[in-house]
Amino acid sequence: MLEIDFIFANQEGHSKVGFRELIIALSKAPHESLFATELIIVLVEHFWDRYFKAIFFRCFIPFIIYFLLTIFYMSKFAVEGIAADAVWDLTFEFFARWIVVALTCYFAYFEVYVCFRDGLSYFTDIFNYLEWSSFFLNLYLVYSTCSVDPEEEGDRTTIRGLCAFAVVLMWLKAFYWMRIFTPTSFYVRLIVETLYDIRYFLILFVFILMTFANALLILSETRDDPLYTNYFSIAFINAVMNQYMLSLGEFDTENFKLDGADPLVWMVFIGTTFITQITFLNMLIAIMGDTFDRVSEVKEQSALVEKVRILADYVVVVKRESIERGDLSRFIVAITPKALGKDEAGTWEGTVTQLKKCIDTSMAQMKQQLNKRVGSVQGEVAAVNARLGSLDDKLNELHGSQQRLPSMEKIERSMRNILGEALNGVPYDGN
Amino acid sequence: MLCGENSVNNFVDNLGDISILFTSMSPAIVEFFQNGFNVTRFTKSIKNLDWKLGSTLSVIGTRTSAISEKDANF
Repeated sequence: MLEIDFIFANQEGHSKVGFRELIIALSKAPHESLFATELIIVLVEHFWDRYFKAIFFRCFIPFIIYFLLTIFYMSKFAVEGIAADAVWDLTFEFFARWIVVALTCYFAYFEVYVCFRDGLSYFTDIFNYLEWSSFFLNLYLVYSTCSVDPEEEGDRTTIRGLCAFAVVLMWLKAFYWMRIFTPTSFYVRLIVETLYDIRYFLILFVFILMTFANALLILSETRDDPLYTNYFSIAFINAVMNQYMLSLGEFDTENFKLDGADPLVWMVFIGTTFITQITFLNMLIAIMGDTFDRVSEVKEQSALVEKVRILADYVVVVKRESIERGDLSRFIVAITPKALGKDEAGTWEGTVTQLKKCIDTSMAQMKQQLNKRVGSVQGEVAAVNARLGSLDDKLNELHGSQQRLPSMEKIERSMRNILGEALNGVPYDGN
Repeated sequence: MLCGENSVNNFVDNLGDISILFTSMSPAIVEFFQNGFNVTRFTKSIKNLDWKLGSTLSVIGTRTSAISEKDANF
């Protein structure tokens, strides 16, 4: 049982404090081990239902509408454009246009709120830049759909490129929203962690691609048909692209046989396939496997972190707890079973934590048993000491008694005197 | 520091205090959060409860009860 008055207590002069502030504080917590502790799990369980429902209906559902409408608008209307005289006609495009604008502003409001709340730290998150890019791009594309002539081919090509980018950003935001659901939040987390963990490896990967691409570029110099396909009209980038395709298993060795079949080209090819394709890509898989193990280890914990972070972004839509509505509680009672079955083992902490707990329990039991044994040995030693003490006393007593007795010499002399007198009538003189 | 007779709220006055603990995590703080609940004779008296198989934790919501008032006041 826990009294949770401290959550609603005045803080730095602010009287309106509640779970909203707790969620924000949790989302900023730098250590994720916090989310494996009993207190935090219970607090999140306590507010989760109310906050999830509010955010689901006030943010997630509008996002679905925004997402579908924007995707459709960009794919259909923005790419083709609309005639200048049809801009104000009451068509589907007209309504879709204004709904997209309204929902863009609606979601931009949350970002502005978070920006003011977080201050400078807001600008350190790359996802916030993607959010704003998406908002501005959507608004610009809606504007250009109405203002740019559909017949203007040059402008339409640029708009097509921007539409593709806007659509990619919208899909990325859909990924972001998948964090709110427990089954999918783990995978979103896994993708982000994997990309983060391979960042240094990718530098080496690009280096090795450029290593062999450079060799290929030089070997191609004197040939009429280059050893790589022309993708981007820039020789070096073409060569790098060729190496990338080769690393994925896309071999194009037709040109190797032309112009005298240079053995050096084949050596480069063998080097590329062995180092880039076999070694590097397997290393990449190994790193990804390691990340998977690490994230799986704390699956529930990671899911909880993701859910709290997305709640923190939209927490402003949830009404504060109040006594009138009956959602301001003073106590939380959390219950856990005394003993868990094998199939009910907790998954919150991960295997390592469970092992740690198991070792701790065993150590505690061993310590307890050891203490008991030491206690009994100490008892026995004390009893033996007591007995030894009494024996010592007895010995001392005997020693005292012995000192009180006449010496053997005196006894012998007395005996001889007595015997002498008895036999001869003369006392014994010692000879 | 913590025992069955006290809980987190004996050491934390407001969210500012607990936020400091969030940002400065250590094994001692993890232990603190791990044993932050107050265990009383009433909580100990809970013997049986509707339980979802596989569940390791259940939070009793606002204005609901796990034990009867009669048992709680006994």
